[in-house]
Amino acid sequence: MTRAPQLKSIDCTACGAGLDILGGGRVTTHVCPYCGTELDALDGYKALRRFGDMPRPDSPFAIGQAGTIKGVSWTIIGTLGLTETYKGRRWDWAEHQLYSPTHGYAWLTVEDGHLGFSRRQRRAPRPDWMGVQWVETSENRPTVLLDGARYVYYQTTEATLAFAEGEFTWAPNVGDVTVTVSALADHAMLDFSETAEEREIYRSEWLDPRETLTAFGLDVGALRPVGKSPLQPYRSGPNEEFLKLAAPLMAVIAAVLGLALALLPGKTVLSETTLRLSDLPQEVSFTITQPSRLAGIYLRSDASNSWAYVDLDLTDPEDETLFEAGRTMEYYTGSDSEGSWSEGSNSASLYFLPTEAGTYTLTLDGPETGVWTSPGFASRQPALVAVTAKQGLSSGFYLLLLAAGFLAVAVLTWGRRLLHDKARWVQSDWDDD
Amino acid sequence: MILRVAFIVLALAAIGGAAYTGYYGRGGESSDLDKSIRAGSGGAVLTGRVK
Repeated sequence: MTRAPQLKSIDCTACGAGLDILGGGRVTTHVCPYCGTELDALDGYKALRRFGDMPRPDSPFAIGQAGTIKGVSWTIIGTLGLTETYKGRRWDWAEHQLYSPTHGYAWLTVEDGHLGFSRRQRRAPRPDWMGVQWVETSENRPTVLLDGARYVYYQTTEATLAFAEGEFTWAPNVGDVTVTVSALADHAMLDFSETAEEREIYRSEWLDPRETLTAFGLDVGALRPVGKSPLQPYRSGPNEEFLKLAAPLMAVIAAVLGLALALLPGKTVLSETTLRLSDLPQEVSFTITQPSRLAGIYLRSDASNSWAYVDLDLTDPEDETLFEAGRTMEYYTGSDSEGSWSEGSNSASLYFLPTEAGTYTLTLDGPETGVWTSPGFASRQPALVAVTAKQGLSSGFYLLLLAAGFLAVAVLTWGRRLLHDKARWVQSDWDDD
Repeated sequence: MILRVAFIVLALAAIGGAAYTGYYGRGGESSDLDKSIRAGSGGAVLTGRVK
């Protein structure tokens, strides 16, 4: 049984208010916005029952407004207010019944300033239903497949109908509870809704709030989205795909060059010269012929479960002190219940930029030594220090710093998508435990 | 497109500059030269850092 299609308006049979008829032939119920009476659209708009004190949901949309969504002109013919309370938190949202003479019925959802567009999903996914029992007994997130997309369990809601006005293809009853299991894919959500009478699947997509408000002739500031909607697909920037490739590539180039420079062996200008610590102070000299390049001084001691420290003083060809420094060489080894261990190093080094070509003199002085004594661990008092010097060294420091910068750009570029997805899933109620 | 070309040109210029200065050892000098670290000597034994 359907209504007369030529019917454009009626008077509420309860309060007499004039009501426009906007919906199509499948409308069965009309809830008067003025008195809250539910009218039977299939039986001369006979008053069925009256809903009182209904809290109007927060939404800029209203019955009678029309706009284009996804290329189709839709008219708002009804509004529902729903609410859910869980663990002390409360969620409220509005759902507007939409009607198009050519495309039938759909829903426009308003929650936290975000908009969703839902249509009945006629073709079943595989498997064909995601119910509460599956969710509660599954060890992994339940998943269904539809049109090549993978919908993963997101949340279960128990929505209570708190407000209704306008025309509907069913008979809304304030206070009724609908259990909905939602599964989320990259660009859409499937809602498996079940009431005492029926079960149905809806597929929802995100709508751009500004575009939609404009399409309905509303102020673009009428909605202030909070956080990310789970429906909101990721939108990459115009150069994001380029940066995803270019930044790691530059990082690799810089890192490889940096490591290559850091590993250049240089040229030995002082062969290993061994000195007795007890004979210090001692001087060793070496000749620098490449003053524009980095030079290095390398020390090695015979410490074992002990340490040795020496003061270093380097003078340039003009016999001016270039720098003073000191180096400690320490090496400890042993074994315990976790196996053998060692720490420290018998070697030490320092690097400097020569000021000119010529003979440089290194003075080693002020030795100090110490021994780590512990039962069961052999130790040796350091007695020797060997000195080596090289020139023509390079540094990969700035290149590696640059590589780290490019890597940071790459991580931010790739991480943006991950952060977006994390925000979309933050309200999921799935617990792996 | 201009931004992409600019990124590549600037990135390669930065790499080239860093490679040039790195070849001559800039950035590789020890940072503690001219400073006495004698006060910090004594090895890990005295500071209790040995396992």
